[in-house]
Amino acid sequence: MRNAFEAGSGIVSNWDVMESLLDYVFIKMGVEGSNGGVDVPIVMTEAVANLPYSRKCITLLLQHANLTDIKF
Amino acid sequence: MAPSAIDTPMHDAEPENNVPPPQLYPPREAHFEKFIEPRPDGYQKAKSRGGDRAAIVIDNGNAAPFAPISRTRLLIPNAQVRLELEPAGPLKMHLGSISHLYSLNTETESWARRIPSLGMMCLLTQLLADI
Repeated sequence: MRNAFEAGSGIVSNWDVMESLLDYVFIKMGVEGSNGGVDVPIVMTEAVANLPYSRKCITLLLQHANLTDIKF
Repeated sequence: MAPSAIDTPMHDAEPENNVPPPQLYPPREAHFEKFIEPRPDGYQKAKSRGGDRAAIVIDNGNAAPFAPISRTRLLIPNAQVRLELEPAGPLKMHLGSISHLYSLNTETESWARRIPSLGMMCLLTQLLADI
């Protein structure tokens, strides 16, 4: 069993799992936007004092979903 | 004997019966309950409001300010299991609470049992989406 978070913290370290989880969430929410993206902005929480690398990776993940409006 | 030992105190402490019972918010277990059907109605409603009037909130379980709200659409544990049933066969992937079912006899599950309660809370950090 794999977890997306680093053990003992809330920092995302396994990006394959995180990508799969985000896909799973969007499927279960019935998100089918135009041009295969998400038409609604996303507010995402993160760990306190999150690393810029972690935030960059999650932004890249969401950009693959054609989403540009994201707040942390 | 000291006066404080024999005199009755002037102001008695408040009886315990006046204290309202605490409201408990127990953590949700990561057990698999049932298949989660896709629920596109919330997304359609958000789209009809316009792009700037609604948002999808994804709570990674770190700050958890959105966890107690009642409009939570989806609450899943942050876990994934990959199964390779045959050598070089198709790879099956399970996400969310069902992954705890498939991991009963693996080494990872025994690792999950060994970790202390704080680690278990991290295991149960939930990913939440709300419209």
